[in-house]
Amino acid sequence: MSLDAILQTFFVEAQEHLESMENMLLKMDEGECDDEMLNDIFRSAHTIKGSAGIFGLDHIVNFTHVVENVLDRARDKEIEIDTDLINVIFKCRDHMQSLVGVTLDEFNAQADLQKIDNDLLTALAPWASTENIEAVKQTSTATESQPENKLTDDGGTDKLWHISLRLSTDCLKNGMDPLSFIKFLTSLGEIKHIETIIDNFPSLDNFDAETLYFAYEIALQSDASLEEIENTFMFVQDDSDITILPPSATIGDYLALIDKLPEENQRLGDILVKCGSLTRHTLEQALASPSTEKTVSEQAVTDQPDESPAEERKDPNATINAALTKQKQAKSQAPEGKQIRIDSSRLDHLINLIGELVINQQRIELLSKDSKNPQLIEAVDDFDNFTNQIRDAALSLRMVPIGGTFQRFKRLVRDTSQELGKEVELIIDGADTELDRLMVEKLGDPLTHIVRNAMDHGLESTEDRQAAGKNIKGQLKLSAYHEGGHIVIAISDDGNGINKVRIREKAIEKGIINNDSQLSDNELFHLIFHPGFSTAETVTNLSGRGVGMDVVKRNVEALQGSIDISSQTGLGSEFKIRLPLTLAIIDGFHVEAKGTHFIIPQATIIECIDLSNHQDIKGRHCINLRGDMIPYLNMSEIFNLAPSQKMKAADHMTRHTAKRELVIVQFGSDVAGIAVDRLNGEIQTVVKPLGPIFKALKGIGGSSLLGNGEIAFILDVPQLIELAIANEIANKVSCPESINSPDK
Amino acid sequence: MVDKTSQFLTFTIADEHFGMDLHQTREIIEYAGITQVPLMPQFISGVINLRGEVVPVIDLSVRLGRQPITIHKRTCVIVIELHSSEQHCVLGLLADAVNEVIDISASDIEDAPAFGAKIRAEFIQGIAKKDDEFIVLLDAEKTLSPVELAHLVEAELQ
Repeated sequence: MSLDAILQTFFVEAQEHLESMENMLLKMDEGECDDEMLNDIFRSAHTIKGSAGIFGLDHIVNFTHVVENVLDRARDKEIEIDTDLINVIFKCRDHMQSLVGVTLDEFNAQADLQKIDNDLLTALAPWASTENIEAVKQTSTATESQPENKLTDDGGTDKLWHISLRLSTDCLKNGMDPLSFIKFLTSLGEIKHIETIIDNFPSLDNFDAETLYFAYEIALQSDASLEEIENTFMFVQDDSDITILPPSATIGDYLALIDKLPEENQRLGDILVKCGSLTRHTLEQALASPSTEKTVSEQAVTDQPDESPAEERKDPNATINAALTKQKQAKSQAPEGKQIRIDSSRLDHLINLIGELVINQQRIELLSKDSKNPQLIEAVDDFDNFTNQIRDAALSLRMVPIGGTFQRFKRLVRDTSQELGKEVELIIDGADTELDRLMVEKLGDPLTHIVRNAMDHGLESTEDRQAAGKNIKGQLKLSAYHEGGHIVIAISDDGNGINKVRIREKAIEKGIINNDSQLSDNELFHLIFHPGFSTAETVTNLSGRGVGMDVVKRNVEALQGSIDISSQTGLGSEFKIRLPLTLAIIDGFHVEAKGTHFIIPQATIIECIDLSNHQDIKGRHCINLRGDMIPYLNMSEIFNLAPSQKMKAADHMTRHTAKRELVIVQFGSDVAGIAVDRLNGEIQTVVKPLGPIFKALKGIGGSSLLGNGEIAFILDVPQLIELAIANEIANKVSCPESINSPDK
Repeated sequence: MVDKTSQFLTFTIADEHFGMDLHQTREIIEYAGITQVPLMPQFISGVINLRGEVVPVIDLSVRLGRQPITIHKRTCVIVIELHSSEQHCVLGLLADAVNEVIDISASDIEDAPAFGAKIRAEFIQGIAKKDDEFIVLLDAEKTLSPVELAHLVEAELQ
């Protein structure tokens, strides 16, 4: 691990702690407040401080220290937690986040950051203890100790820990300077004694400047908890041998330590005595009868009264030991859980490989069918089954619940509502709905825009709501659910709805539509996605600049998704984002038109019918399907397909038997048909993007390789319908309503 | 330019000789059919399956303002790799014949004439002379810039 990689770990962990702090703060803000939450927040802040200390990120340490101190006072019920305090701590959390993002040098160079730093420290002052900084430090360290340790805490700050450091010899190569740990220990307490063991130091010929030859035995007088001390060594504990003996350690523990270490027992014993961790007397007794599992208390009784205070502290106390074990267990449970962190590029690589596997599997299937060997076909079928399972399992690795993304909006809603002076309640539904990680990442921005807009324009002011007889508290709902092979994310509010008249006026004013344009509601609502469109009377710093909604649409479309708006005046509006389940591998339906292969995503297909059995309605591209009028588009027309040479020859022979097939597809509430020449059946396909050159090509979302190596194009159904509409408008075909999808 | 030799892959399209920096070329494959992409402008011949990778194929002849290439038995596809600022991009180029790899020293490369080459001057990296024949050395980054190709496609579709 290079230093960069370790720093990276620090950033990731700090980020997690900051997120957890935010979640806890949000809960507290909602009125739930218990000691456990405060403890959690405190722990997060504390861990960040501790880790930052190791890297010498003093700007983080200094600031966080004060925050931690305030939190600690709150924990000890010395100060009251109220909204003001929560607000300040929220800001502090944000500031910590910015601090984590910059190096010490950057911090020193950025006056604005320092100003925020100072402002927040001043803001915290009413809650911070009034004593001078040194005293603040004292309070903080004194109160940091865990309650269970207090049981034995008769001497106040006299607690003497023994730390045996056998750092990895590669420690220096990894960018870790043992001195920095020792230095950090001084922030937890006072180092009473350090013995450096230089036994391993080689002759100068063999000396390597980058190898650590030293070991340390340290006596630390500190009120810090075991966890805090352990955290100091978080970044090296994996390959080092670190033993931390708490003040409550029994002589047995020390003997175990002495036994474990490679150095000669007597010498180690001497060192421990020098450190003040053991008395000469105890040591001699213990070493003389190493098997005796004497606890220190028994020792203490026999010891002379002039023993160092260290002796008294080693009161054996079953409860303490139990508490310590418990603490350790709790610690080891928390971070490990049942999750592992994987570099996302490795996961993508796996998915790519499985994509190749799927293609090859199809080729084998094709070959096996040609061979007409029943045993082979059976074996390949089994293979097929497993390939599908592997595919699904691999894809599920990339799926993450949307809840994490939704959670972030709690904060946004809280801050925005304060800024706007509106009371808003955020309801989250379907947080465990899973979707592709790539999509989750790219959804953040569009959702933020929609939520902000809903709060700013959608929800009315408190007075207006009261006048309208509504609950003063506005409601904003984020929900996610599955619908027909898609995932729908809906953002709804119970505000005033979208003002259609206003949109219309604005659109005419901006020249987007003509004065006499007839638009359906849906078309009208979609005007808000037009770049530079905003109906807000005043531009606030939240929204109203007209940038954003067009970005929303573009982002959603980039994910092969679509967005629908519905709104009722006085009752509220709803934005529905519809997204495909995954982007990498899809179930498709293989069709052909004029020799070109296409794949229609299975999720959009309702049924397939034989077009020759149906008559077009009055010469339009519409058929009557069981009483419903279904518009359809001709694939070969819309893509201007000319039969290939090979097709021409084949076509010639089959001309008379050629029939036309119609695939009925549904997207959102729209139903349409796609006329093709041949249906080739279901196929699993790996989506291969067509690359930047073809970005402007509408209706085709990507390409895919067929079992025989040929290339098929994957249809993007909503875009295809949009294209058909655009073509009709361009051609001035006299049946504008023939495509029953006003907005697509 | 420093006087050093660079290697160029030379090829022929409709009796004209072209050269391209060898570092940008990846491989040469036999033309074995192509899948046309609907609605594309003429300079995009289509896409091919290159061992599982879908690669766009450009008709360089059209791109340079000439007649479309005629496909015949010896037509081949030169696969090139561009490392533009945004991402790397793999493209196929149709050629009538691939000739050889030649070393050309920098001093033998002349600047593109301001006019007369019937090719946009910015596409030409220089002109080299070998065995009394002129070889047009193409600047692949400019001639085949994905960004520009995408713009052309967009224009065609509108």
